[in-house]
Amino acid sequence: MTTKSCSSATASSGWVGEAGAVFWKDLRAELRSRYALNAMAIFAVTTLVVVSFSLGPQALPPPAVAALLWVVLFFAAIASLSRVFLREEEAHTAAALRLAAEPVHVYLGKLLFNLVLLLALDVLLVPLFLALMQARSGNLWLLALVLLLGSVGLAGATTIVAALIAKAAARGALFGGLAFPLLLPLLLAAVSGTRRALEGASCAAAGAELRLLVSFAVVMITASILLFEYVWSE
Amino acid sequence: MPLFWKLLCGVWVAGVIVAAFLGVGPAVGFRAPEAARILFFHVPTAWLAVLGFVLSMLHGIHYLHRRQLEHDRCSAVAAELGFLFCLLATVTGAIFAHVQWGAAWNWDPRETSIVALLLIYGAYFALRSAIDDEERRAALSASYAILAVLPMLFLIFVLPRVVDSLHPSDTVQSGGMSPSYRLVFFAALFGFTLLFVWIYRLRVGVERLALRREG
Amino acid sequence: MSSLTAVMVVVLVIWVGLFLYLWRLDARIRELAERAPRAPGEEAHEAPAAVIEPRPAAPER
Repeated sequence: MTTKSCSSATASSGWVGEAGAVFWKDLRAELRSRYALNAMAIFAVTTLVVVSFSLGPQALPPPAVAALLWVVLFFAAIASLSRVFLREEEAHTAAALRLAAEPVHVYLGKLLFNLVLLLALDVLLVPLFLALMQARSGNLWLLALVLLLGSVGLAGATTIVAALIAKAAARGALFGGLAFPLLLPLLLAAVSGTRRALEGASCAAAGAELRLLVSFAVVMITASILLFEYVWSE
Repeated sequence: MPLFWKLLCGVWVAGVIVAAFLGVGPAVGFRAPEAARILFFHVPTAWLAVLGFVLSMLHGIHYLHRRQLEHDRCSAVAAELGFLFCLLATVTGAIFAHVQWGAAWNWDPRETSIVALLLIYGAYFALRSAIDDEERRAALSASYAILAVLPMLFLIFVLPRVVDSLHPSDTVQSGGMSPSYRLVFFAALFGFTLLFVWIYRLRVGVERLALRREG
Repeated sequence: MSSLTAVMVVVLVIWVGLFLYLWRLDARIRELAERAPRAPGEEAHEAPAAVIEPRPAAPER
């Protein structure tokens, strides 16, 4: 306990402090090994190169680019976001964490960690993707907004699913299967929003998609907070 | 289920079948007027798929409150039946879509939501089979059943407002059906719901016996 | 016989088969339920759990 973050977190002991402490713990462990970040980055870049390579030098229309972008993002998220709870199970630290923090705070900390991972992935992947796909830059602000809101929803749903499957057998295959049906509305809205952004529509024109993304994220995270206690205590 | 209801179910559904084919004339405004009779069977199966899903969720909530394994078994049975009817709804829907709209699959919002429902059921069973500990399986699958309701709400209520649908969702409410069609339609809904309840209670009976033998 | 009636007859035959199957299943499950041993919680009412007996008198010395 040499860092300031932990001592300050225990001092303020509110829900922000405790969730923040869980987040900091994960972040420092991640920065030490860079396991999830490396796995995610290499997976995303590989998928991207595979897609771009198989397409060849042709430029795709915006709907296809938007769909492919979210396919790559979805699979990259599936490949790496289940680590947050798996790591606790594998290192046998889950019991200690159960004693140390309230379930809700654990969820919020893990959610924040997954969100940061996902945003790092967005920053790395999306410019590369757009360059490789030769997409003409449309409304970049809208694109960033859709990516941000989509990532919040994606992190919210995958975090609770990661907690669900942490103790199941054959987790890797299960994670994608369980997460995808939950994410269907998000993917529909995000693909449609990204398409509009690539076509250069204004933010107002994509109002329906943005509202859907916001409400999805709010609903998913609220439900997860309510349910997490039952999932985590198992 | 009492004798009366079982007999009623048998006679009622038989009556619905006769009425669906002989009681009403060819439908007006369809590309294949005779084939439109499949709606008397397609819509109830879709409704039962949703009913199974909701029942599964309610028993899931019940389990998380009471922690009685019987509720978990009820939840699984409801999901099984819902999955069966969901498959039937998908197949009958695809057949009719092929006849009516020319293509078996169009990713219309209703079709999207039935696929989501199929995937949710599939994921639910995959989750159940992947956990060995009985109580943990019960709690986790109950949580998933509850969680899975949320995307369904989005797909059923929000998505059709954003994207255009091929399905005539207002026809039933706004009286677009002729009285004889409406009568057979609601009779079919009632009859198939009776059938669902019967099968459900049979399966729950079997599960109770299994629980007794184990415990 | 028109094709419509033919289809109806096929559907009716399927329904009758399904109905008879369910009916037999129902009877068999009920029979099993009556024969199956009761759960431990249910048995408790049939036999008293504890019997009060007078203590045997101490043997005379």
